[in-house]
Amino acid sequence: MRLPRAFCTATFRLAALYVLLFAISVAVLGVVVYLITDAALDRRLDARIAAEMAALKYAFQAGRLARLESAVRTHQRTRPAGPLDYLVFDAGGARLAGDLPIVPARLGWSNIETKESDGDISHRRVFAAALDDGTRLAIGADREQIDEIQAAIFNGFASAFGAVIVLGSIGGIALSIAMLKRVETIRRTAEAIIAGDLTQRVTVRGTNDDLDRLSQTLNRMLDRVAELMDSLRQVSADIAHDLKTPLARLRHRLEAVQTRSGSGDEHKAAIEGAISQVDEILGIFGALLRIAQIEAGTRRSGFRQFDLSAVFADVADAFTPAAEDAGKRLEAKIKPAISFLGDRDLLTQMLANLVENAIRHTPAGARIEVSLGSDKERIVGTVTDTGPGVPAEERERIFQRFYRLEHSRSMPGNGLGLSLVKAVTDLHGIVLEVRDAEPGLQIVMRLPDGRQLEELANRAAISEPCMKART
Amino acid sequence: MKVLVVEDDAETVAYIRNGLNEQGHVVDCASNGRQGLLLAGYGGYEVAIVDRMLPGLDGLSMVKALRGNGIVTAVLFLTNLGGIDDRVEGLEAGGDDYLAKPFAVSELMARVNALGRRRAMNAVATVLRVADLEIDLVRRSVTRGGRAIDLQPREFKLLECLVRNVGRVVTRTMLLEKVWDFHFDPKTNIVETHMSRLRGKVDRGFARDLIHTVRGAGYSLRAPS
Repeated sequence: MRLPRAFCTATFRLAALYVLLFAISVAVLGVVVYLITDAALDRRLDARIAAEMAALKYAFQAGRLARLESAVRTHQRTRPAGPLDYLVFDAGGARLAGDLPIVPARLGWSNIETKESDGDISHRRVFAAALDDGTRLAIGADREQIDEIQAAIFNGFASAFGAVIVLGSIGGIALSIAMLKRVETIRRTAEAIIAGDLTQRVTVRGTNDDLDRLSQTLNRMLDRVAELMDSLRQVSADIAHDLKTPLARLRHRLEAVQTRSGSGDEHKAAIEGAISQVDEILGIFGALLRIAQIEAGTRRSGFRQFDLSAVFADVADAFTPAAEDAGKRLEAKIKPAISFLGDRDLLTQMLANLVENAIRHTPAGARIEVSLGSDKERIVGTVTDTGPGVPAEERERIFQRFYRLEHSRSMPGNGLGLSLVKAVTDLHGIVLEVRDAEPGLQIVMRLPDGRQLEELANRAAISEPCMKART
Repeated sequence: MKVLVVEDDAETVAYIRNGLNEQGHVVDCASNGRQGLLLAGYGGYEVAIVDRMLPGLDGLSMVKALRGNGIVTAVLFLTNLGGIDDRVEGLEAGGDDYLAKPFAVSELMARVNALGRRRAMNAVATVLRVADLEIDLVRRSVTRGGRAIDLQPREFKLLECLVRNVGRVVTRTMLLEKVWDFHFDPKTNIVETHMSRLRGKVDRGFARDLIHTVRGAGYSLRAPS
């Protein structure tokens, strides 16, 4: 027989274990209470008997047997110490006074069972003592009351035990069913995703409990996975598209060399052309791989503190003559000694790409400004030009791979420079902004502040073992 | 010069070997890390060209072991395309230079020559002289034929790099790395524009040029013959 699924859940197993432990503790508590009350009631009974015995002995000393017998009779009638039975008898066992149904066989404490007239057996606690003249006095107490109290205690705990088991089991099953339902929705979502529907997301109920938070995290993870998948798909499509053209051109060129019976010089020129075309293709490959590696984020573990001002100054310095030769002016406004935690090589390349982009896409006579400074709380770098700028609706797209503005399609370049910029800024937590410089284009880089850097560093610490595992 | 090539791809080995032989170098080859380590230990090579990815013992571990044994052969790592972390790792393991595959043979030759020469030029000279050109590394001043030449700091570094490799080809990427610390390939002619300014200051007005363009390879500074 298969158990219902609710019984096979971790929740049910935990609930069952909890109920079992709780029931055991109820039982233990019951036994302890039973024993303690039993002992306490017994002591009280004994004390009552002893006190009565002392009182009657006093009566005997005051007026011998006659006084004792009268006292016993009075006590039997009035019962000043509760339902006690008395008996005065001589050493031979002959009853002199009192109504204790049995004559105790020995002196001191004893427990006596007697059969009542109605057939019940009653238990009595009896104390018998010898008086000076050989007469004996016995006082007995019926334990019925104690037994009743004990029975009540036992019944109480037994019902509690039963209730714990029943209610606990019901609660456990209800809990399991509820959990099973929620876990099941997560599982079903996961199955749907495995089956290929990456748009599925776990339902979040908005209660912000642990399962909700888990669902949220799972959803975020799925978003990230989907994002990566998309970017992968995009890259494959881009590669296929943008490498097909130069490869086809290369093929044509080589084919032409093969069929044409040209001179040695012509062959040489054709081969040189082919090599430079291959280099161009390799350049695209290299850039794509580099962007992919940067986007993987493993490089954060190599972050070091370095002089960002020096990087800005070096890049500006490196490109100044090239800008001048192209009839443009490159100016730098760099606040000295700004230090930053990151990858020096990548940030150098990022800035170089931005400056190159500005030089390439501005007409002669344009002014390009590279600046690094700080506003209220953050370090801000900018690259500004006075060129034609980028239409507002295209600004977000200039960072996409292979994206090129219509008018720049005829210019050299592979459309990957700004994608690399985006990858590097994302890696460093730098916020990129594309602005209209009126006229021209301004790229603003807002560097993360100390707190955000710390978060990045933490993420680096997490991603480091992953990286180690990969190699 | 004796050069050791540790590389498992036969075609690449042949490519490198041809290039090196043409320049008159003596070449030994190893196809895995262990063999490479053994040869490097006894061969007395000036330069070793080591692929990062090798069967058995990988290139990095091989060079670490080499350095651990006190062998000072200059090491040039060959790395894969786009491997952005490779350079620092390679240098930390004890490599002297790196080159990403695929590479032009002229680039490799220039780098091997530069590595081989390094030891000779490392002598603590404070004044470098080529023909009538004189560079004072301490005062950071340059004179040619007794006439002082005023150079920007970057131009000075560029000239120093050329002079240290006098008579040899220095490629564009080598200059980018050594002079600007740029470990990527800018699409702009940074080196060319700086070089033309340097030439304007060093060669203009003199009968013989010192700085020469080597077509398809790079630049070379040499004394007029």
